[in-house]
Amino acid sequence: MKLSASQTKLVGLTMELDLKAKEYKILCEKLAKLKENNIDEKNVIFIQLKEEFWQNYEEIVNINKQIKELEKSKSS
Amino acid sequence: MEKLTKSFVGFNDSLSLEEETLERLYKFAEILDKNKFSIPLVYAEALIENGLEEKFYTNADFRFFKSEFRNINDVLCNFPKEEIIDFFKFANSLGCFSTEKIRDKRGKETEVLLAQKATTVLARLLKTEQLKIGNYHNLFASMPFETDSNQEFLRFIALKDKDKFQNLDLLIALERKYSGVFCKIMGNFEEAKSFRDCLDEQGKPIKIAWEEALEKYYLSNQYEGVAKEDKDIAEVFAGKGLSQEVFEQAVNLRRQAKENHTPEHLLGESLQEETILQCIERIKKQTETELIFGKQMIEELYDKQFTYEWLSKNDPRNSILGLFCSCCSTITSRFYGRDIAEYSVIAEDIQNLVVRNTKGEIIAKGTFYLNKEIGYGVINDFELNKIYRNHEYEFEHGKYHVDINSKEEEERKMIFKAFQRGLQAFVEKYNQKNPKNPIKQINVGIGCNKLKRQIETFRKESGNLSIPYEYNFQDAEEEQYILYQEKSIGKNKEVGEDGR
Repeated sequence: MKLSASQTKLVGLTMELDLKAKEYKILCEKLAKLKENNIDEKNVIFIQLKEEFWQNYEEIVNINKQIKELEKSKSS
Repeated sequence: MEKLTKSFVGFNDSLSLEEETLERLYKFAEILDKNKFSIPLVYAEALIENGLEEKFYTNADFRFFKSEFRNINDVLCNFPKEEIIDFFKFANSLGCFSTEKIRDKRGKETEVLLAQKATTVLARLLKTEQLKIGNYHNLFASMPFETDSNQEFLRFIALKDKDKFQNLDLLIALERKYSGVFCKIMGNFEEAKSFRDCLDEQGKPIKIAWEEALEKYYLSNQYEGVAKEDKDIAEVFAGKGLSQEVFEQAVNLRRQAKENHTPEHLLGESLQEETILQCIERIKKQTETELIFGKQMIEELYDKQFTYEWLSKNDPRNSILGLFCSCCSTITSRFYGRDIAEYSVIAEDIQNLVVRNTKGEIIAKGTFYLNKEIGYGVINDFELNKIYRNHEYEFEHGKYHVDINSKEEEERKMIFKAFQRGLQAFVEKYNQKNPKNPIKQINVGIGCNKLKRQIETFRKESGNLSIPYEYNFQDAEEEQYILYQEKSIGKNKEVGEDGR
């Protein structure tokens, strides 16, 4: 069956969100390991990790914006 | 007299004991003698003094202790009376004489006795630096004689990592900080353990480390009459070794502030610089919210690839729905679908519930009969356009040879969900308008139903709901499945909640 343009976009966004969710899980695991090893939170690794968390968050927010737009275009 | 000498190490004729004590010792000796077991006289006397000797020897099993510690009385006789008493107190509280059966992780009783397990553990603990003979009085002087054994504590203390009893180390470290904590935890292990489950700053349930939990338990139990909301004060104040009086003063001050509705902050809100970790935790929380939100939107969008509509009787498609849904429901049909198509237009108690795809095309339908008097509905079956019926078994309509998670089956699931939403909305509106005679049940026929896989997850009807003969609902004649049922007055079930 042929997918419409909006369906294709939805599939694409679903995949992107899944990917970002996986990245988020990896970051959480990294954080847990650092905590386990009692690494000092002033260590540069923590600062880098914070940046990575922030980037991941911003990307997810961006995907959600696109999903919302798709939702709007479908209902209009 | 011989029995007393044999049963109680340290007993001799020259001792001057009260008559009552002597009588009780005789009774005690009877049991010990039968078991060919002996204990230090000082411990027996201490038990008698506390009125606990009967509790000690009734239903006790001395076999394991006797065989594991053959020379214990010889070793102990070199130590002061208090050390002997406190060693036995610890052994007894650990369960070394208990006839209780060990429970497995699921709480089921095994054949192993607690006495056996506790004795083995005690033998190992005795070999450690912390719990060798000579240290018992220091640690267990404050332990009450009546401390009951606790299997969970036994498991906890017996935990060994390589050569170290990690939890014993933990308790000893705490004991160094707060004298008496070991006994307190041992005697109240369930309560102490419960401190592991708490909430984080955001109110999310978390499990904290043993060390932190046990310390929290001990500190918050240092004062009398600590209310739940004052546990934090107790923890901080006990940590600083402050008295009950000071604790109470602080409690009263805070209560006073609360009663006067004094704001917690001058600004009316908390103002605090985030540490890096706190910042990460905040981003994490925000990310989790976004992920849930995104997934919800996606789910809704996928679901709404198919939307329901209760088709107006005025709509010309009612007469020829079979052409959209690949079935016999047309007014030109030679089959029973002709009656269904005709009555869909003219009968006032029948209406078609259709499902459209993203292009707005009707791709599925269910013809619904409503019995207003009794308050039930029956759908003949769910029909589906042939493009959604790929992989269908030729002779078994509605059965598909594809994996339940395949894309095709996913689509059929979404179509079924659209039907469910349509029925749910109908029931809600109808019951609002007809509170005295609401819809109590909706069944669907399985006959040639094209969504068999979805329908068969519901409960089968034992006695079918009836439909007027002339409507010719042949698919609902043989077997019906219950899609909706109102269980009790005031508690409406959602359509599809019955799905197994």
